[in-house]
Amino acid sequence: MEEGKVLEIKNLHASFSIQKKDYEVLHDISFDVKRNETVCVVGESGCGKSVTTLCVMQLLPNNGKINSGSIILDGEDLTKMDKKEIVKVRGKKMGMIFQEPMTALNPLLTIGFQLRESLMLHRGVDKKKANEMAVEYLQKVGIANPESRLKQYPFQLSGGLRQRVLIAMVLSAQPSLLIADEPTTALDVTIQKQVLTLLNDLKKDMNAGIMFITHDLGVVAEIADRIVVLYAGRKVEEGTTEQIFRNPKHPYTIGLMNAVPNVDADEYEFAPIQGTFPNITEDIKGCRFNPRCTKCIGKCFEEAPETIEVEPGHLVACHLITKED
Amino acid sequence: MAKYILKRLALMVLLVIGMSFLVFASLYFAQGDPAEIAAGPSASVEEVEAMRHFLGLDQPFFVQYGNYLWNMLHGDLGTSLLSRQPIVNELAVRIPNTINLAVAAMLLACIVGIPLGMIAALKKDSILDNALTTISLAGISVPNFWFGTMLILLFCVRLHIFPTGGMTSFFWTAKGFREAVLPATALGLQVAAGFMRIGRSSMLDVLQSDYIRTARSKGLKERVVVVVHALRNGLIPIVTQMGTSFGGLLGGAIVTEQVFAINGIGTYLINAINQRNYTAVQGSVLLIATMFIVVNLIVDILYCVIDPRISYD
Ligand SMILES: Nc1ncnc2c1ncn2[C@@H]1O[C@H](COP(=O)(O)OP(=O)(O)OP(=O)(O)O)[C@@H](O)[C@H]1O
Ligand SMILES: [Mg+2]
Repeated sequence: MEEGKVLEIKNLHASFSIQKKDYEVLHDISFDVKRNETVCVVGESGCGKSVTTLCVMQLLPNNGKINSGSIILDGEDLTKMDKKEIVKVRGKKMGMIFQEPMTALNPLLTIGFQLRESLMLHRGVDKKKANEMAVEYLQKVGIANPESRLKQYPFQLSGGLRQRVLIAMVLSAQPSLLIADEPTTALDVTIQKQVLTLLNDLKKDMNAGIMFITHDLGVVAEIADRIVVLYAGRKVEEGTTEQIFRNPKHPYTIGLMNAVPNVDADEYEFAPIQGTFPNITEDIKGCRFNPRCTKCIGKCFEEAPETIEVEPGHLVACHLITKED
Repeated sequence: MAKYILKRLALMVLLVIGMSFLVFASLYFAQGDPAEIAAGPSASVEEVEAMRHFLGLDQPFFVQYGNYLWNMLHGDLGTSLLSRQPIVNELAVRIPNTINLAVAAMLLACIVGIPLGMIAALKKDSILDNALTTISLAGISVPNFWFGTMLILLFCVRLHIFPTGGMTSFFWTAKGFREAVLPATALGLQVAAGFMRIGRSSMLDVLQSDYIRTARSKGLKERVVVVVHALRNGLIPIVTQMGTSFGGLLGGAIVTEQVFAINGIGTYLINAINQRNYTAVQGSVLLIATMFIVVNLIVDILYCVIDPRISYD
C-alpha cells in the first residue's frame, strides 16, 4: 500500500440479480483516494456511481454482490471481512452522506439522539459528554442554536439543515474516508454552495479522503482534486481535475463537458451526447459506449478497450487513444 | 398534546350525540310497535294505547328524541321494555365481560401478531416467512364462529383442557385466564393475522428505508438497527390500524359471546333484537358505538406518543 492512500479499489466487479439472472453493474473498476484529496466520481444517472459507494460501505441491497476485486481501506481489504468485522469499520473509518437528506434521518428520534449514538459508539464517550460534543459538531457545520436543535426531530429541520446534521454525524466519528453520494442534488442552489464550501473547509482540518459522487460538472470543478469518469459500469477516464477539464480524451468525457454550457468547451466539435444510456440488462459487445459514439472504428464493436496511461495519472479506455497521443 | 386531547374529547362528545340520534331515529322508523311489546302479548288495544302514552311514544319524534338525549346525558338510557329494569344497570352487569373478552383478544393479537409479522419481515423469503404468510392468510379467511366451534370441539369436548364457555372472572386471574383463552383466541385470530400482515409489510418498507441505511452506515450492529431504529417505525401502521381492528373485535364479540355462552353486551343485544326490546337495542348499540369511539381516541393518543410529528401542529 502506497503512502497516503486511504482507499484503493482494485478491479472491482459487481452484479445485481434481477429475476434470478445476474447482470454485471460494475466492471473492473479501479481507483484510489488519498488523504486530503477529493476524488469526484462522475457519470450519467445509472452508470453505477451509487453502487460503487455501496460496495465500499458494504451496504449493497440483498440482490447485489461483489464478484471479484478488492476494496482496501486503510490497508485492510473490506471484501475479505465478515459481517462483524465490517460493522466495526463502517461508520468508524468510513462514513457516508447520502443523496436524499429529507429521508436519511430517522423521523422518530431526535437529532440529539442520532448524533449521540454515533459519538458514543465511535468516540467511546458517555451520554453527557456526547451531548457536549454533538453541540460542538453542529457548530462546526454551521448550525445556529445547536442546543435547541438537539431536542428537535428531523421534520422540524429544512433539507439543508438535515444535510448538515448528517455531515456532522459522519464527521463526529472522525473517519479516514468520507463518501458523499450527491449530497447537494436535493438542495437548492444557495444551500448547495454552502454545503460544498463546508465540505471543502472540513476536508482541510480532517485529514481525510473524500469520495464525492455527482453528475454536476460545476460541482466537480469546484471541489475535485481528481476525477473518475464512469460509463455504464466501466471507468472510461481518470485524471486530475486539470487533466480532465483541459484535456479530456474519451469521447464520452468530451461529450459530458460539452453538455455543460459554462465550461470553456468551444474548441471541441462534439455536440451533447446523443442517444440513451444503456440499461444494465443490455448486452453491448465491444466498447459499451459504441452505440452513442460518433467516432467509432471497427475495433470498437469487437473488443472492449484497455485502459492506458496517456500522461502521468491520466488514464483513458478508448480505442481511439494510443499511448503516443 | 394536552390541547390535542381536549380537542379530541370535545369531538368525541359530539360524535356520541350524533350516534345517539342515528340509533334513535333508525329504531323509531323501524317496523314494530314498542308499546305492544311493553304491554305484553295479551294486552287489549286500550292497554296498548295506555302503555304508549305512559312511555311517551305518542309524542312527536323530536320531543321523544329530546327526552332521550336529555336522559342519556344524565346517564339514563331508559328502562327495558320487558324486565322493567334500567338499561344502564343491565348493561353495567354485562359490559365487564365484553371488555374482558375484547381486551384479551386484542392483547393476544398484539402479542402474537406483531412479533410474528416482524420476524417474517426480518427473515424475508425464508421457509419461516412463507409459513407465517400462509398462516396469516388462512387466519384472515377463517370466520371466527367456525374457528371458535372447532376450538371448543378440540379443547373442551375432546381434550377437556378448557371450559366450554362462560365468563366469570377477568383474564388476568387464573380462573379467568382459563375461561378467556379459547374465546380470545377465536376472536383475536383475524386481528392477529391482520397485524401480522401489516407488520410484515411495514417492517419490510422500513428496513429498506433511507434512514435504516443511514443507521447501518453509522456502524450500528444489526440488532441495534432493528430494535432502536426500525421497530417503532414499523409499528406505526399497526397502531393506525388498531382502532378499526377494535371495531371489528366488538362486532366479532357479538358472535363469539354466543358461541362461548358469555353473558356480555353481544348476547344482550342479540336477545334484545329477538325480543324486539327496542330500548335495550338502543342502549347496547349506543354503548358499543361509544366504546368504539373511546378506543379510537386512545389509539390516537398512543399514535401521538409514538410519532412526534402528530402532536406537533
Ligand atoms: N437493487 C438493484 N437491483 C437491480 N438493479 C439495480 C439495483 N440498484 C441499482 N441498480 C441498477 O444499477 C445501475 C447503477 O445504479 P446506480 O444507483 O449506481 O446509478 P447512479 O450512477 O448512482 O445513478 P444516479 O445518478 O441516478 O444516482 C442502474 O442501472 C440501476 O438500475
Ligand atoms: Mg446514485
